[in-house]
Amino acid sequence: MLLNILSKNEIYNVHLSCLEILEFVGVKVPSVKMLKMLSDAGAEVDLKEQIAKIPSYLVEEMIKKVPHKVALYDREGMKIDVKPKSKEVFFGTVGFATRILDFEKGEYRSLRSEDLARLTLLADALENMDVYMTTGSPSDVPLEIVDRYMWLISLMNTRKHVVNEANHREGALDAIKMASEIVGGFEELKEKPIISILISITSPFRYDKPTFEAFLEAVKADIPVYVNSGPLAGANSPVTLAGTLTLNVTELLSSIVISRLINKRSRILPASWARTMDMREGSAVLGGPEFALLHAAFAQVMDYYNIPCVAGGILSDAKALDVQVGSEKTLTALIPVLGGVNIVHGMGLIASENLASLEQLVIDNEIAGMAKRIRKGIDVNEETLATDLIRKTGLTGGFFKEKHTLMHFKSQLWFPKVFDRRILDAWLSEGAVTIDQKAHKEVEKIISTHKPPEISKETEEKLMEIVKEAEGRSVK
Amino acid sequence: MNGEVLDELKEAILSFDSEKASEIAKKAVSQGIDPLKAIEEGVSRALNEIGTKYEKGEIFLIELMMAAEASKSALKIFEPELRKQRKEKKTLGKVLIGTVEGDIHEIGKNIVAALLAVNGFDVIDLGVDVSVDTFISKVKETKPDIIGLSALLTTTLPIQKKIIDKLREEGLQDKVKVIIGGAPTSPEWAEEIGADGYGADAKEAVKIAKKLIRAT
Repeated sequence: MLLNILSKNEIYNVHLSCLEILEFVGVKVPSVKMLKMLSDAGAEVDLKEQIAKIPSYLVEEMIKKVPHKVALYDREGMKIDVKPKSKEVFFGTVGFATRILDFEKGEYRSLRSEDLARLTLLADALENMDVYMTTGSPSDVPLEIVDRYMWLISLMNTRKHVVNEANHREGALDAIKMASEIVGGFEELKEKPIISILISITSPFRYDKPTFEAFLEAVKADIPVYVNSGPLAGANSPVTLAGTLTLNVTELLSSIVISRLINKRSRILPASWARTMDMREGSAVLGGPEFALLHAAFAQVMDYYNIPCVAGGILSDAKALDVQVGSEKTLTALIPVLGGVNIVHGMGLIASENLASLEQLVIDNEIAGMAKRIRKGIDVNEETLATDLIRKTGLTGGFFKEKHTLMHFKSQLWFPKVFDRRILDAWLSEGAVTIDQKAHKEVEKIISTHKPPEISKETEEKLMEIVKEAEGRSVK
Repeated sequence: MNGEVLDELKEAILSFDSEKASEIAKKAVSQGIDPLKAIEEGVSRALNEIGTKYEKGEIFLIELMMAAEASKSALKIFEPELRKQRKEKKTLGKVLIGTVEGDIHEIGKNIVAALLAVNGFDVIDLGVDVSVDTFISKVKETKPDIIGLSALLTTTLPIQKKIIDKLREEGLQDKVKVIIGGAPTSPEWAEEIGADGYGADAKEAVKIAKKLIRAT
């Protein structure tokens, strides 16, 4: 089941605007070598201003040539095929919180390494959490190399595919080294990548130099790259949603052209984090209806290009495990999914991606489960229509003990893990436990029983060595 | 040798297969296996497992029901054999259950009946739209430890009260405990009409039934 936020004609108009902007405004590319490559390919380049204006024909050509399916792997060889028009939607956590809601103490405090380890381990256990984006940025490690610790803690605590940010060349290289250690070599990593590297474009239309260098390394190494564009409507992007969508898509198209020029095998996942600015508070809004609309429309445009896509969703601006959090998370999960986004990242964080919560991660697992079910829709065939069965049972209408029920109920019905569906008195008699309390119990159960992936002492030492070397370099 | 057949019987129930359960039960009888032993080691063991799995949320209602059905089809084979040998199977207690007059809702009642059976009660299900008189005459006839009265409509709630009143009139109130259930019922209503227990859902109903049996 899919929603059409935009008509075909509207999608085409967005596309034409993107081409016009790339051709007449261009993007800032902080690399002489890259600018020359762009120039050779037909772009109009200003070396002094570091701006490349990319002609329509080049953009159109690259859109056709970019891989239309990106395969992400987990540590057990499980493949996640990210492809447009797929009925299978994936969910992931999001980063990078600096604080955590400590449920037992009711405290908002800074996030530490052990919190990140727990968040990662919990995410590893939750069945609707498909791709793990490192959730937090711990405060108890040296700030200069916090990204290496984020990779280390993530890789040590989940089997699932890990996405994390690289802000500079060395960060990207170290991430690739660490992942190679785990899978037994760089060639193995290329064949079945267990990590993706996330880089962010600075709106409007700029790559900063360290990020751009990280981007180049990841593309060169054949590692899947999440290219993130997160314009803020009303601030660094037009307040109109169509304008922000256009700016958003334009930025991502530039990354497609660039990555193709560097490496024909480049695996790019355009990721939209387009947001709006709250016109009273000046804050970025991630839980609002516009956030939901922007990413559904974004997915429609990417679908038109036949390119898989990632977007923010299942997010909220609420600061507590309250009704606001539930409403906003459901809204921003469901609408992007129905627009056709392939991977929705947002699990585990609240307060506009600034606050991690273990309990919310468990609740998000439920929301993701519901959204996945809705995306599957209703399959209509002879077996599911059950006409013969209904004719057989007739007016007595007992289906509860029918084989048909036993055969199909698991594929037809979604079952919650923590959401309560008992009748009132049963719930009251068992202490009227609210969802946050129940989620907390589930967190404790999982954390105390779920085992992190097995990693040999030797590999662990090698990973630590990479981190320590980075630390040594940063001190110098 | 015996063990194998009984394991098969247990597996048939655990895979919710009524036909197979009945077939294997016949095989057990033809091999001359003691029906009491067959019930204990085949049927009861399977039902215990089902009950535990259901409590833990590992299996679903329909599977619970189908397992209860499968066990029933096996018991149907063993019971005449038991009677021949003048033996009785061990049960936690006998429960007479039905949906009251004017009400044809049966799903909730069926779930309670299945869960009681899985937990070792001998359950006699009177079905739906059961009149007050039928309840009373069946109590006299089958001498249950507990009767379960289900009502899903606010309009049929008063029948639960009528049945309890009638039990009193007939002097049966000390001989049988009454549990009521159904969406519009509540602990307050149970107290008001003098029921001995109220089952908010099937799991509660089983808990209360066990408690009432222990108290007698």
